[in-house]
Amino acid sequence: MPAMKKIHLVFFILVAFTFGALLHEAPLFIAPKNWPKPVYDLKKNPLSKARINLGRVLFYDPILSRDSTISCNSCHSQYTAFAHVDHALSHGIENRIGTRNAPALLNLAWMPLFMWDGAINHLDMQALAPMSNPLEMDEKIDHVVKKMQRTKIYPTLFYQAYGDSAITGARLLKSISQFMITLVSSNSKYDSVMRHQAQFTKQELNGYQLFKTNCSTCHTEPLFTNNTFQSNGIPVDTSLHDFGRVSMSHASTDSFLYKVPTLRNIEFSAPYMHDGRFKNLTVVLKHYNEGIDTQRVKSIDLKKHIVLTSNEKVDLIAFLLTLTDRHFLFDTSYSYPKKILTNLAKD
Amino acid sequence: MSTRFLFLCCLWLNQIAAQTNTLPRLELKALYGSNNLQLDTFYKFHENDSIKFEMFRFYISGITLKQNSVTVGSDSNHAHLLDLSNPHSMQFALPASKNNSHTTKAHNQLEFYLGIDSLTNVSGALEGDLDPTKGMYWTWQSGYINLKLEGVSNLCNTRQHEFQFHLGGYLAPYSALQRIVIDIPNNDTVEINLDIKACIEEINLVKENLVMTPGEAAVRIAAIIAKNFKCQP
Repeated sequence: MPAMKKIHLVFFILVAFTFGALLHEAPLFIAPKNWPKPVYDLKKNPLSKARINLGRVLFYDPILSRDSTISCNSCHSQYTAFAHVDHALSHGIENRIGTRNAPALLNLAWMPLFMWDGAINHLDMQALAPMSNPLEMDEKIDHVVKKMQRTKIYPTLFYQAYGDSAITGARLLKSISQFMITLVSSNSKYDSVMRHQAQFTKQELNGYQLFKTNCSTCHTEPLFTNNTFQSNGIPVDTSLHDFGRVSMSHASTDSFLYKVPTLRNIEFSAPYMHDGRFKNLTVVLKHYNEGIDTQRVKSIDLKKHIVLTSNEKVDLIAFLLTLTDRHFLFDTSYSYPKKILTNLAKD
Repeated sequence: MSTRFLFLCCLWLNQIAAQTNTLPRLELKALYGSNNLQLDTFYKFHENDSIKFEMFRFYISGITLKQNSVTVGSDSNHAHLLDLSNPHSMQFALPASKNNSHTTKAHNQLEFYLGIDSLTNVSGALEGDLDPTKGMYWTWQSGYINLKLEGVSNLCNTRQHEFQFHLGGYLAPYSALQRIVIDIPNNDTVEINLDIKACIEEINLVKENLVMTPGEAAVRIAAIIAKNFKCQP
């Protein structure tokens, strides 16, 4: 082959690769390496950009509440890992107060059961609970669908997402799931260390060892939860009439059991526990160190007394702070969908 | 060539028409004793009491048509929401056999479930009759409400003497799903009756008038209703 032809061929291949790379869109969902298989079956709800966008608009839209004042985002703000900063219990319409703390929303594709007591069995059905709870959004999904049908934007968004403008409850819920599935937090310092891209400080490393000895049975890596239901020995708040998982399972052994929450982004997801009783991590560690009612705990690890010195507590907290994922907290693809809504307004 | 094509088309259409015509229809009638049950109508109940029904909705699923225990038709993946306030929902075509052999086979047994099976209950958001907008899905706890029966009786010491039975639950030991097997005649229309009077008389409305969660009561009452599905010969 003449040299000139060779050069042309190489040039053509380079151009093809460059255009290919530019045209290639980033995958909509990536399960991080060495993580377990997601629980959510994406084959039954295949992700698309348009459906994720629709879910994102719904997440930020107070149309889901009866008086259009409360959105999902009201109790799940991105900058606090989609938890509710400074609020022990969830807030509803007309200043109503719920009975449980709004948890962080992340890595939900790996979560088999939802809510603190696991009463919700599928991510698709989770949004129904706050939507219908009289202390939260106090709305009905059939009415939400009717309200959406009257808007200008939703028939368009459903058309873009599903190929026709029909708004159904199932489509609404599956779209919210799509956005929820994209909320993957796997870029903390801890993750960089595990990928051999960074190193713990001496203090963080000591904290990591303490974590593995005392906490990891329930807060199992890499999700930092084993998704089980446990009692961690906190006294019952008699004002809330909340008995935990027993309310849905009717099994007396489930009394006062609550789901083990993830520790990822724990720096920003205060206050802690199912009723938000602990305002900061120092108080949480104080409880595990000296406040556990060992008669009421189920976990064998908690029945053994956790004894940490003041320095060890500081080291453990230093490790917990390595679970903060700033990429996640400031990822603009999770934020208020201003651009989507602006483009819709132009059409 | 074109004549042969037309002939084949006619044959094919004829076959479809024959299949469609031979599919039995299921007509479900809710009765109060020997009368058709009407919503919002007061009926005599026991000696000196009256009763009124305001809502009656339920799912049936997994319908299978059999001939001497051999399946000749099935739509096990389909759930039907029947609503007494919507007469169209109370009747529909029964399933054809997968191999279309029903056109030549008779049937003498009908099998179906009152309610939604556990697999469907954990399958996320579903369309059609199973869409959560239909009002037959619990929101505070996942799961379909298999049956809603609501009304008023002065026997009930509740607000405005209301009774509400929302029966469901898919988790052991309180799965409220009921399997129903009924012998049926080999007719084009299969009429199934459900005598609500017989059902409600078995429930002590004085003591039990609000059942809205999965549990022992839901399972027990669902079983009472299930055994009262009968075929009209």
